[in-house]
Amino acid sequence: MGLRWTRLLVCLGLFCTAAQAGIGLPERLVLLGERIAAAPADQGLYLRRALVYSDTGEFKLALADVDTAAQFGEVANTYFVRAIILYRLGQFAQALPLLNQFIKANPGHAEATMYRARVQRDAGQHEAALADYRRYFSLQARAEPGDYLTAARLMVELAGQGRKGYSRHAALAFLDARIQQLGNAPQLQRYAIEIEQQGCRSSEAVARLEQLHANARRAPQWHLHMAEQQLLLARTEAASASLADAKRLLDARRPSADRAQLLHRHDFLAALLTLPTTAKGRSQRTAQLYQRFYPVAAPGSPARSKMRWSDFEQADATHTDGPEDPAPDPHTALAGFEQPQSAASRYDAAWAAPIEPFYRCLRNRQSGSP
Amino acid sequence: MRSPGSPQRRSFAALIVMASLLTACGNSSNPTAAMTPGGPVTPPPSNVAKCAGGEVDPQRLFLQQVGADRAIIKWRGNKAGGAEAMSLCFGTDRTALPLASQKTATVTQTDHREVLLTGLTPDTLYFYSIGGAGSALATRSFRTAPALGAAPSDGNVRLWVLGDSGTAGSSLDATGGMAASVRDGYLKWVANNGREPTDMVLMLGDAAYLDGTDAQFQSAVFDTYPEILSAAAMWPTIGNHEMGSSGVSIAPATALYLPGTGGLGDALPDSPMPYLNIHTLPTLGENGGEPSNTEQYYAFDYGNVHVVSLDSQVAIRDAGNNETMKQWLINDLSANNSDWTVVIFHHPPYTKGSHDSDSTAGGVDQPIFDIREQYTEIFEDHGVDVVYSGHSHSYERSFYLKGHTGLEATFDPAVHAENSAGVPLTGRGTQAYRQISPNSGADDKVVYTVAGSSGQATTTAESYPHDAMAHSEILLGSVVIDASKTKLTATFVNVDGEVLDDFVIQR
Repeated sequence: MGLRWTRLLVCLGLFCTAAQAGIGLPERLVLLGERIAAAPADQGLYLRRALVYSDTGEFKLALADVDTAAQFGEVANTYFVRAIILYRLGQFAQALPLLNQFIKANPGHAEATMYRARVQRDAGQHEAALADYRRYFSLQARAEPGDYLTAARLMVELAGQGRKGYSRHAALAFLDARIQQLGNAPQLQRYAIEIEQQGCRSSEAVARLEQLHANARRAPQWHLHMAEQQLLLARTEAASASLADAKRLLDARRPSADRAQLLHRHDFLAALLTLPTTAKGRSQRTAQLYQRFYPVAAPGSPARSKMRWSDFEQADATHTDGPEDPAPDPHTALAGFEQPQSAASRYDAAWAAPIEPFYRCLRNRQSGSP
Repeated sequence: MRSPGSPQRRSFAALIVMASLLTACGNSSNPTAAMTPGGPVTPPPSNVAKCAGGEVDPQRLFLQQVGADRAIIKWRGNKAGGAEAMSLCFGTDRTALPLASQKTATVTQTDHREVLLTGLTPDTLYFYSIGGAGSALATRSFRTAPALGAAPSDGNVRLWVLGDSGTAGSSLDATGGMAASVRDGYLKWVANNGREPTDMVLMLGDAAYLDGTDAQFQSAVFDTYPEILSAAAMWPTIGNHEMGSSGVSIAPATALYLPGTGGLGDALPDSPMPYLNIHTLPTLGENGGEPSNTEQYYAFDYGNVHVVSLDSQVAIRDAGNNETMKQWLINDLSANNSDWTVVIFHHPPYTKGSHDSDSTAGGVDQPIFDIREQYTEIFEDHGVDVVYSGHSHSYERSFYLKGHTGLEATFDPAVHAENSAGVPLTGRGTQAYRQISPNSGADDKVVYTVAGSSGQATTTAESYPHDAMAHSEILLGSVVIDASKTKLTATFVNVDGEVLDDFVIQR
């Protein structure tokens, strides 16, 4: 159970006070209390206060206000607010029928449609969630980029489950249509690149990288990403050029954790470019390099812990090449690797995540897998 | 300074309008032109056709997206009660705004008029007139940003930071004029410290109490800082008092914004929130930075300074949108190599002011936990220098921090702060911070500041002040950031124009 939910449950207990839930907010509650005192039969005021209570984590008081609101007007008007509160409490099964009734009465209500999409998504009803996201997009000309991404992810997930009518291609088409509509949507394009990369479609990934906003090229990782795709396409010259661009940008950066991680990734890719040309030797050395650069990510690696530079040196000194390919210098992998200046630049297990998709495609290509 | 709505001020404004009209309608040698405040009027070149319209004094006038080569001038209403202006003229000669510069305004959400100026020259002073007059009032000018990476010609980017300033006109302004007194304190400090102009205004949310309605924005923002906002771009972040009823409409059949405490919401079309209707924020990387495709969060460059505005409440609205913003932030910061990086959002990661960053969350203060647990590491790993928030109505400025993601009790200055023998450095005098820490050899630390006392200074939480803070005050004030090529200085100025805290980061 996450810390957030632990806190939420604590807050639902008897000892949760307004002060614990949020000092200072009560200005609104005081004002709404005064307004309710002046107009005690105003349904809307109770609903507004219910949402403010909900914002402060006072869910019991919020639901009590919804109950009161139901006494002063159409009960159906209260369904949406009650559903929001129930959703926040994680009571998806109770929230859903209320939203169904509310939307049936108000079919053009964009926010309620979006909430139903989220409720269904979180309840695991992904097909229905996706349908509601689509409805929401038709009601709201311009949604948040995260909502478009959620819809695209649902499409990919449904495709992965083999559900009829869903495919990665359809998800890409959806993203492209939205990119076209929004003019420039790097969040969506980056997810499209991720989808292409999952399928090891490097030409398509390169084309999409090229389409990213110009600002992306100021980032060293854009060039590293490009180098990876060029490597997969066996375009070594282009890969080298991209790596050189990445290095130039990295050299101009102040030392930081981000820079250290990117330098590490750069050096791994640079080392890959030095590998022997024979297919068998290349494949073996690729695995060895990966294990050396990303030790905790490799199969059979030790515990996922941070490693010091000395660990690399020790690993490299004890490394022996396989019988098929004795030629390479055992220190090739570390050639040009900038020694971190401090403990802050230690290798971190999290550094492996960005390169794992590339490495998987590289191994697939080397083994002849699709 | 008199209060913006006072009769004296209105008379002064009328004088300005009258003088400008005379200037625009008459010939350039008209002696009344010399009455225009702001300095002597020089005759225009005889071969340039001047704009010849009349000056209009809008009810609200403000600048958006001022960059190196572009700016948006936005306005609404007419104080004199006549027709609203539908065009503007601009140029580099205040007394001779060329006819060729005249631009027709676009009518945008909630009846605002706005004009996008493009093709401007970096680091250049431009003058403008609303309504198409041939001369500009003294208060109607702005300087474009320097070229990317460069410092301005005066050597310094000046950012004025206001948090939770929106009390003017609300029931929270019990004594009257609290926000105006903060403004006047800043102006007094500027007057006593070289008169360097404001390059931009950063607003940390809750700029218009209690609900961020359009009318409340009028009182708390446009009537409170008219001269400043007509000369420097306003860059906001969204506060909890601008989110309406949890950011959603509860109206059964429309998407109208409903203020939590009642009152009139804005009309459609696009946005259900007045904050989004009022501002025109960069969503497509217009001013540099990673395009966000939403006005809820965005980034921009201003010469050698990069600024990121986050929506600290996005995580409580939807996990998917939060992940999207987080990834966007990483991509933005990864492409950024500015001398200085400033991040603003409403909910502070560390506070013991009117909100408590140790409080049980799950509601209005959940964003405090979200930011601290999910975002501070990103800032520290990607070279962010300073972070500014509001929400607590206090001034709380931290040490130079890294890796403090827990409750106050877990704070260890020897671990989490730039220190000398375990004693945290203050950032002042000989203890000035270095952007690249001598201890770690990396640009890995951030100063986090709560600057939420620009409209009210209220209560403190138990165990105030927070142990991670180098300086805490429960006093009205605002922050000035001066960023040169080699040094960033941040100063907390009170209502008397006095400095109560400052620190320096050296490059």
